[in-house]
Amino acid sequence: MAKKRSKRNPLDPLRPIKPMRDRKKMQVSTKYRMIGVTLLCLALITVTFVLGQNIKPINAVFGYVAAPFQKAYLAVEDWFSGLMTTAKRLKSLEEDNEKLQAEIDRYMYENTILKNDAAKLEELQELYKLDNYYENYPKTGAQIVSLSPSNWYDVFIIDKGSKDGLQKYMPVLAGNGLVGHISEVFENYSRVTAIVNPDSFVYGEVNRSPRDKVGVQGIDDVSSSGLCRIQFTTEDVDIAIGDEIVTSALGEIYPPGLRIGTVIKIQEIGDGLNSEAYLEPAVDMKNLNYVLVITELWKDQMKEELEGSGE
Amino acid sequence: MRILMMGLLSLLCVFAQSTVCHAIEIRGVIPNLSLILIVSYGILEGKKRGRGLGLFIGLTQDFLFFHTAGFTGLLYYYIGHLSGYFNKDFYKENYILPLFLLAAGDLLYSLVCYFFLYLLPGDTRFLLYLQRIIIPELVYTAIFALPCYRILFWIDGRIRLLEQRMQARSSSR
Repeated sequence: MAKKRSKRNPLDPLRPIKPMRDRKKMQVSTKYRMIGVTLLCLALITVTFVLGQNIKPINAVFGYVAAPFQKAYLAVEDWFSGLMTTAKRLKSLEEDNEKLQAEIDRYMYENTILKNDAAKLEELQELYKLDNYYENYPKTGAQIVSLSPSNWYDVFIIDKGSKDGLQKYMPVLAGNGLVGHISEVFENYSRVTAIVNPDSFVYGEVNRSPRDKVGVQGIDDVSSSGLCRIQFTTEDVDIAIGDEIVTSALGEIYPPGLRIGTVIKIQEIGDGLNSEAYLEPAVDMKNLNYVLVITELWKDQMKEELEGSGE
Repeated sequence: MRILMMGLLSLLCVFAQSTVCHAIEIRGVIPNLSLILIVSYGILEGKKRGRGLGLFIGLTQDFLFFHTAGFTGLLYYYIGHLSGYFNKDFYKENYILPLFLLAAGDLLYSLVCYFFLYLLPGDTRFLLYLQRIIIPELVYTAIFALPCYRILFWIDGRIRLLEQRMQARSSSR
């Protein structure tokens, strides 16, 4: 068995003895190698900057290796936190059970009422020939596989990709709110740009009459974490705190009627004639786990409808 | 052997940083595990290996999460190289030096990131980012530095032992 003293003792026979001059200064070949690697990396940066997208084959490989690992990690994490909550819950299990049962009874009653309302609503919509765009779209669920590894940028990755039929610019929702759109698609995973990302711009409108049009842009502002800025399309937009903003039909990416968020702040800037507003997204971005992807491109839908009505 | 181990460890690290670390975030800040790994490895194994690991982790992180490939790779490459300058036997056992070096490394990483991602596009609110991101990340990463370095030191010791055994076996034949 090798002796442990070799870690500290430089005279150990198994430790190679380097000649003095090699140790004193960095060898020339090393310098060339370092310069080479630096140039290679800079070339990579410029290439991806110019092309605007990553090198697809390499990404596909990473996707095959990375995504399963991350899902495994998340599964373990879920299992672990499941254990913890079970341990905590054991005490109050019976109480919770009773409470939940009472809630179920209440919900079943409310459900019956809602079903009646839904039937009425359908009739009315039929009468007024309202097309409910949102409900007719095909959707698929996906799980968020990972968030970003640094504090400096904000992207997340979902576990469905081109082999599940996803394409770039497909809208991504959670519950009833808008999360963002797919910005990049690989074989079995995709990248999602959230509406709070400064690259994202959404055409929206105020959800009460007059339906003034606004633009919603993500801001990368540490002091207003997780909010979006609302841009007014005209000078006198009728907007107030508490207003809900939904997507309008003007945009190319998102179908209309999706909840974006609520106005939480309107402040006057500069000379008081201009003002800007801030929106809090309807979706809690920090605690996202499962999302819905609308598996049709709004652009195609628009083209279809124009062709259909032009007949 | 060593390459395999470090490769697995670094992949685990990158994945952990994008999944597990977010569960323990404080005010939006997560510890930079990859940086800890690279600086520690640079101290324990020297410039050459520090560079190699830095490049590998950086490129992996780039391809998975960021749009411009090579940025983090280059940065971690040089951080690995610089921490390799502290690869002396009497430095490795000391647990305080890695702490300072990690703080310095994290500061360097944060400053470069700020410079290229925020300053050049026009955002000059350095003090705000200093207060909100840089300093909290520094402190949080430093807290993780000590236990992580100990673990890595132990791992490195085991790998060394294994290598020496293999070397002894092959030389005695």
